[in-house]
Amino acid sequence: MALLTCQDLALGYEGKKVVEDLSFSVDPGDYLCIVGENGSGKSTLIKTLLKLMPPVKGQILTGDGLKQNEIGYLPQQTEVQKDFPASVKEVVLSGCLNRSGLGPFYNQAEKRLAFANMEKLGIANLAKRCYRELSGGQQQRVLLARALCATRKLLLLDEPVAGLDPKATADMYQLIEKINANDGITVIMISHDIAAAAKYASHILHIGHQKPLFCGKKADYVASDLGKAFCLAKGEEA
Amino acid sequence: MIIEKLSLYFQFPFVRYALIVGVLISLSSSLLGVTLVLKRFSFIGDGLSHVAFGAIAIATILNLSNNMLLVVPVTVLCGILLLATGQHTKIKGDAAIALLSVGSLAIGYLLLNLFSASANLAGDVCATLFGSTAILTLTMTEVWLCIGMSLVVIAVFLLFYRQIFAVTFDETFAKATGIKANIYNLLIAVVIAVIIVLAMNLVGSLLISALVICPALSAMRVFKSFKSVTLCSVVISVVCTALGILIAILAGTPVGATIVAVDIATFGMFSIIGRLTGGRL
Amino acid sequence: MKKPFWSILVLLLLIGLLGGCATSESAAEKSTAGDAAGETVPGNTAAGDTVTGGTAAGDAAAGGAAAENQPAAAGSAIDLDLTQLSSIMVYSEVFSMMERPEEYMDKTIKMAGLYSCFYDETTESAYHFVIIEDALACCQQGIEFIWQGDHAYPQDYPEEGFMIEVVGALQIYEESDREYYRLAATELTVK
Ligand SMILES: Nc1ncnc2c1ncn2[C@@H]1O[C@H](COP(=O)(O)OP(=O)(O)OP(=O)(O)O)[C@@H](O)[C@H]1O
Ligand SMILES: [Mg+2]
Repeated sequence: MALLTCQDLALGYEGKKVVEDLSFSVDPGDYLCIVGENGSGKSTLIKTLLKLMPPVKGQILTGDGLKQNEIGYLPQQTEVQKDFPASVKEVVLSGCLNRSGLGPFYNQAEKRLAFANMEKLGIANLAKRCYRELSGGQQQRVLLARALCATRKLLLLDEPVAGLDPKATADMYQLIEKINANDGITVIMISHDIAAAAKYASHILHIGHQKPLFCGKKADYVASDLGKAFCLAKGEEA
Repeated sequence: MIIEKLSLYFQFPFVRYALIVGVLISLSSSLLGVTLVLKRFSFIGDGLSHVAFGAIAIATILNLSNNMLLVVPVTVLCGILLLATGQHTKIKGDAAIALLSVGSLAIGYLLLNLFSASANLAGDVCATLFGSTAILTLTMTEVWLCIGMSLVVIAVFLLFYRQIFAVTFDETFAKATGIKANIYNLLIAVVIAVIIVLAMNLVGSLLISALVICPALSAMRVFKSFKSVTLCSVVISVVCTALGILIAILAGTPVGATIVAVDIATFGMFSIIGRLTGGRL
Repeated sequence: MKKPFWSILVLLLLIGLLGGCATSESAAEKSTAGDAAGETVPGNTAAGDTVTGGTAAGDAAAGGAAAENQPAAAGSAIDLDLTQLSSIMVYSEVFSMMERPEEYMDKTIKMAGLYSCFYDETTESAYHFVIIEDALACCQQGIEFIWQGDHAYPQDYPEEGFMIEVVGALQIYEESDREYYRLAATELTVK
């Protein structure tokens, strides 16, 4: 059974459509990469999948017993309060909250998980630092560690490598691949890095102007005219 | 000399109650200071205190034996109302708060003027606004009510500490990962409303924001994690309140204003400490 | 780390709820508090301390507090000297006096304040007050007093607004079917 099924979905803000005619499904273990131009509605799709905003039309069905608190999320932009006093450790730990009960303390297992994720992202040495005093790339890694803590079945990433240096970017892709392959976690990722998408993803969703242009297996996409054109254009840029 | 005076004053039960109740109220009010500052809810505190004033006016006119029984529910209700409207559209929410708070202040005062049987109207109004001696003139019922509500606020905060952190830090992420952010926002609103009603006893309705926000702001000057800021603001708030009450009864100054003055002085001190340490703590 | 936390939390909640509930029993609380007040009010000379429940609890309501003190006649010893307190303390103590007069019955009280007089045309009698102001000078409380002995109004009384000091015991009296409290002043000095 599919983890997520979108039927004839139309997305938008206050009734104004941004994208329509979206129909696709995501199976457990998939690695879906969403590509498209700026403003095509990728982030909007993710927010709608997360039920942060209602769809204009159509519906999203969840299957395989997927619950909201089994999802990890990395937003494109965080509306984190400007002068919030929070240490890196506290921020990462807050990702464990959706698997946790009441009371002011996290248990040992949750602390271990948070620490492991900080290690994975190379920010263990920053644990005591204040979040708002980190560089953009460091903040991005902290939020990724938090997202990983929250993930149990599905991980949604909105441009996870934005702001990361080349080495961190490569590490990041490998990390996501490992999570997907070894832990069996379904990944939905937005990326402008079409080469990486072609390399790691199992499925690709290409959103064009108001309409999805392609949705299916990666191999088919690379073979299609659209995929060729897009890959080529990107290749020339680089 | 001062010690003698103090030990003399401590033999009065109302001084002891004032200290106990004052410490508990300031403890519970400082807990949500950070949340209040960061969620830009400071104005809700002000608005609610005016609502509470209106409710007190009505309770006075109705000659209720214990006006807290009316004031608490009314204020909590308005807190929920304000927060609910504030969520959807920003500007409307602001206007709603302004309208509700100024409206209840005006109507409260008007009603008092028209119907109050009390001979000393200006005094009543002034006491509610500035809390000059309110904490020293609590009835036993009010003492117990204050202690009970403070303890409930503290318990709720401890119970939902991590949720409050998550919802304050990044509401979107919290919602996306299955935390019932709306419920916690509601809870925060209710707790804030209760705190406002409590704090009115301590400093009066005009000085509430200072009592709630000053300790958090001071702590944020020096400390950089949520836990340390929360702990520090609790300590600041309790110490300042106790000190304020003691100074007030020794020097005969108005209690509310004295507490707030001590709070402000502490803020200045912590600003300097923050500069000196460069926020390394 | 965990265990103590949870037990503290449960304790807090319990106390909190009890606190909430206890308000209904606060009437009872009040009278016990009254006893405490009676015992600890400063300025007590030996007279105040020696008394322990000598009188049977005849009337349960006000019994405790009233029984505390020797009859005021015992001497001019002052049970409660408000002139020793800071202004805000005076105001609060007077408030508590008005709130729970039964606890202060028959105690000898010394207080200072502004003299004020109110002449009632209908009863053709003058009522005298000591006015106490709070720190903001916006709240006032007046305590009525009656000067014992042969003093003619207005000749013997000070002028309105003068600072006076009175010593006397709090007593209850009835007028037109309502109960009032006043200080039966044995001394009045203009300062
Ligand atoms: N809060 C909002 N209210 C109204 N319209 C919005 C809002 N956010 C985005 N839009 C509009 O919706 C469209 C899609 O935005 P979206 O953020 O989904 O683009 P995107 O594909 O994620 O772009 P990018 O690659 O730049 O991240 C844009 O045209 C944008 O103007
Ligand atoms: Mg986007």
